[in-house]
Amino acid sequence: MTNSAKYAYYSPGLLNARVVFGGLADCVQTAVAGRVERDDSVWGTA
Amino acid sequence: MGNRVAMQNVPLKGRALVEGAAQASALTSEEPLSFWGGYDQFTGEIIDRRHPLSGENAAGKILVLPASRGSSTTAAVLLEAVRQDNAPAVIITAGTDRFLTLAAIVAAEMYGRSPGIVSVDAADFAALAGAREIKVDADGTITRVA
Repeated sequence: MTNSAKYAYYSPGLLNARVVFGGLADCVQTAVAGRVERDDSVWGTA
Repeated sequence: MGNRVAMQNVPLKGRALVEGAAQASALTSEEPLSFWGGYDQFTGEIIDRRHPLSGENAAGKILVLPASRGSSTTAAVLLEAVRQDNAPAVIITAGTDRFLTLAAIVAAEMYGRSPGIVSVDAADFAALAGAREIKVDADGTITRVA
């Protein structure tokens, strides 16, 4: 997970991994939890 | 259609910003490419997964792009690709691309070899679309072979 749009764009090729785009709070929460935790409400999709 | 076929073998006059002569397979795209994050210096593969040329290997080939994109680190990645013999033989751009040209000039100084960098105008760039093989002379003359 990254909060950088640029890194979200390029990391699939650089890391050969799927990527999740989120805010800084999402990134910290995900690091603490050890799995993707993303507040979808800020994107209007929750 | 007749005009397009006729154009194929007419040499185009590009501007050789860095001299390089080659005849090789061509990869062409109308999409700019960032070499940082988009070009694998260890293999020559184009790894921008949203780029039309994603998955193609440009090492030793004639790469035709409108320009580089985004990161100025494009120059560093191309330089590293030259060091590892994974750079394109020639890069043709629509107009002058300073990042790619800088990398080629520095590569010639540091490693004694470099890709040719040739700029063409918009009309000639369009005439190269979809080319499968291109010949480039040291003076910047470009011939679409196939």
